[in-house]
Amino acid sequence: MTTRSAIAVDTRTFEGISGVFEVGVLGMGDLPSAHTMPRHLIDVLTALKQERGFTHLSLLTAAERPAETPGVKMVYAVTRRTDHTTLMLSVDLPEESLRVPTIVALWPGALPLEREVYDLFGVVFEGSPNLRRIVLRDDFAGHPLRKGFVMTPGGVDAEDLAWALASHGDDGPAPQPENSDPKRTVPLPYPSVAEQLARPGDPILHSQRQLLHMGPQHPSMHGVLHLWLALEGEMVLASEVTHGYLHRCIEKLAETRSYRACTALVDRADYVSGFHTELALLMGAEELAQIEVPPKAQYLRVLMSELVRLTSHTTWFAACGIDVGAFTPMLFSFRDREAILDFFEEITGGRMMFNYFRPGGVKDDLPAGCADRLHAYLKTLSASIDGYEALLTTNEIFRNRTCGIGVISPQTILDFGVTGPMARASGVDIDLRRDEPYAAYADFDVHVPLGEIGDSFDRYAVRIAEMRESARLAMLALEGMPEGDFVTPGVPRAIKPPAGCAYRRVESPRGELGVYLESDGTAQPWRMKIRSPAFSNLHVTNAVLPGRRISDIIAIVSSVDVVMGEIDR
Amino acid sequence: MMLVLKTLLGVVVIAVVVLVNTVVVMWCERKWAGHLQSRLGPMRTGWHGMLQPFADALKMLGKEDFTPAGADRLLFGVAPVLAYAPSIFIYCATPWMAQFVGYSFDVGIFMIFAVAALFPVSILLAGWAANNKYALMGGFRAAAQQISYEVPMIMAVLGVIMLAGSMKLSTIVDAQAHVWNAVTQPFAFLLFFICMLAELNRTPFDLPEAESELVAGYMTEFSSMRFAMFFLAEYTNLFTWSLFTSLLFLGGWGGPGPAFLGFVWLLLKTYAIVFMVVWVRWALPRLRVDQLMEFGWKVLIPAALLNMFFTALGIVTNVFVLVGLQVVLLVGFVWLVSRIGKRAGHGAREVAAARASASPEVTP
Repeated sequence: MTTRSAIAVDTRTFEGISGVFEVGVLGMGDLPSAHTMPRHLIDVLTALKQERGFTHLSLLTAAERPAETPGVKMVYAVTRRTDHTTLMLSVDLPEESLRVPTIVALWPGALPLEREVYDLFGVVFEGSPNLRRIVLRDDFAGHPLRKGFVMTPGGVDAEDLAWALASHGDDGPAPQPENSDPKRTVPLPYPSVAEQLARPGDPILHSQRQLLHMGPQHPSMHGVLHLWLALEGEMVLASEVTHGYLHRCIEKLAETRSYRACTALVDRADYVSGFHTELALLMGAEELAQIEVPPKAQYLRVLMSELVRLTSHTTWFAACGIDVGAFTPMLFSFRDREAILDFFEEITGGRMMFNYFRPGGVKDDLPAGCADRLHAYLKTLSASIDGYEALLTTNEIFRNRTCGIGVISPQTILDFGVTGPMARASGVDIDLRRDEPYAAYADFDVHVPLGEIGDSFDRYAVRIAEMRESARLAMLALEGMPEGDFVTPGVPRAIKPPAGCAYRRVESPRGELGVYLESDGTAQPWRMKIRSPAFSNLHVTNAVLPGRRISDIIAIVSSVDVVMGEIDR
Repeated sequence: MMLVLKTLLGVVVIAVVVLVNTVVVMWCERKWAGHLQSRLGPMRTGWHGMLQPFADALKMLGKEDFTPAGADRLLFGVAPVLAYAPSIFIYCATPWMAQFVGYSFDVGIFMIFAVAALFPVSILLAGWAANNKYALMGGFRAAAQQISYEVPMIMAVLGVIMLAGSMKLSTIVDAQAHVWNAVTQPFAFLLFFICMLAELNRTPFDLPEAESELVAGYMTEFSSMRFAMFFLAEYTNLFTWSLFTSLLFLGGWGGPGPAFLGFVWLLLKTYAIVFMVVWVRWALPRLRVDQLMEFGWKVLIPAALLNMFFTALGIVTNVFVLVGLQVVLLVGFVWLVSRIGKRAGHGAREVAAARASASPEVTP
């Protein structure tokens, strides 16, 4: 790995913060890291955020500690945008006291991440305003990412079915469990559905407030997204995102698979841009195992990442049109998507589930003649994108539906950990391809389109501009493709990285996609966590939707570019 | 006895003509939509998918006739019938040719609008009876929308009535023997066309059944033939309103050649309008509910009032004033609508900034 190891591990940023100890490289890859105690956590993170400028919460997750010291290790990663420094912070929680203070007051976007850790590890976040399970059902017993959890095979029994039927009535989100102290509870960073429903309706109109379930079976919920909406007429008073209907235990399954098998597994996470998750995973694995990647493979990785960004954005464009009532744009953009998928099929053998990146390179070289045809095709793409724009960009109705709708301020972007085109549409100038170049991106001059207002239209415009940019980068990658090996010779089929951690991020079509890997020296990862950009991007809608109409929900959610497979994992 | 037989025969003939045209309109929509989207549309059922509407009908018949728990069973059963009945009933006053008309009312237009006003009632019933929140919202949207857009629609037709001096449709058609109302009343024609799209619940005014928001609106819970009734009503209405447009604005059955060709001319004009409606549907996105109401009440109704006033001015002066004022209205309307879009939507902001920063000329 050439790109990141050049950055010296700088631990001075921790100096002078009380409560921090064991500063250094705590088996945390080459990222500066430190260790703290639960009681110091808030102070340390507050100091880092407010005094040292680490304003972006990149990662909040947990991992099982080794068997000799039972318990759970909390892992936080924060980023300073000014110099693109990322710090890792870990907190050890002993088995008898799996409790840690919530950091929702610092980053409201931590709330769903903490719920996920509570759900999968059973860690209680003291003071959390809404500590409920998030991907598993509310009555699930146990916390499956703990190593001691026994998976029981079998299907749904009658009792489960009865529960499912009984619990999906109009009863609103389930109340939070009693395991947090009400006196120290942090206020919810957005209106609560239950509270809004409890209040009376408009006294003049004698209206009643109602709860509407939008999804999981709904034509424009992008799969199985589920929104709880407190409504008065068509006006949204509060909304709460519910998901987990597409949870496939990818992180749990990864713990029993070799790194190469994990590549096939993570394709299924973000199923419209599989290469990005593959790349983040392999970058971590290669760092742990100290595997070099030849330049040609790096170029092929850039090429594939950009092509898959195009297919992802064409999928988004299709949904974007349909969600505002225009059906025809979908067929236009899917024509180009098909063409690129045909190239994927020719190069990788798969149209969506590629399994193409390997530790140390890629599976295969480009087939003969493919590069020329691909280049010729990419040249025509700009005209196709003009065609898409002719259908929507200047359309008066489309503008009325999207301009000024769902405005997200740069502060909200930071609070909720929003990344990718959504953040850029609000004028937050971040792009990991340019800021922390990985693969061969250091050789490319990536132009980052920015929006001004941060409404749905800006998000649309930014993605359209990104499509043009991706086509350009893909052409440059084809033109500048170096000669040589496409994979490092001699990399074993099952790599066994030494014990340690790595956190590597790539710029996926939805934003900052990270993979946190922990190895215990065996051929399977001890812990693999996907930092899903769409997860954070989606949860910001809780703060954006109140005060809008039902039609706007669709225009806002479609501009988030939701991929439920990646969110639920 | 002869009268009864004659009436029955008339009913059968008109019902058959209408049904055949409904089927053709369905097929046209599928084929034209397909070609607009660079695909073929139905190709397997008969020559170029001619039998597709019948295949759809067979499929509908095979579906479960489902009534949701908690639905108002009586209204749930009545609503589809009430939706389809007026769309056929309307033809008792519709002339096809000078000699081919169910009953030539002196106030034919009045009769037609009165019957057409029944349609939103059935939608409201359907939305209410289904005991579904999405259906209810769709029903309310439909009622609000159709009532709001009927007003400017009738007012747009008033100009035509003033020109012909009669509410009898055949008189209106005869009055266009030399020059179509679309030429002397282009602005009224545009208003009528816009309101017609709203009456038909078609894009960009298809809010009552907005599939991306309200699942299927008032039709959400209807299945089998109940759904087919709504479906039929929708396409019959599409044909009906296109027929009226050609009668009111495009000279009806008037055209060169012998008199019996009048029927062909009328159908040609009608299908031209159908094509325009289909084209608009597959090209445009959907408005938001408040934007729809704002457009109806703040733009269309004042515009229709102005149209009436200017038409009256033209009638008391001369035809050049009439057409000139219409052109003024047309230009003013287009300017106003584009202004509204810009004010509400920061229209001045262009994607140029974003595109410039990703300009393809720059190479690393």
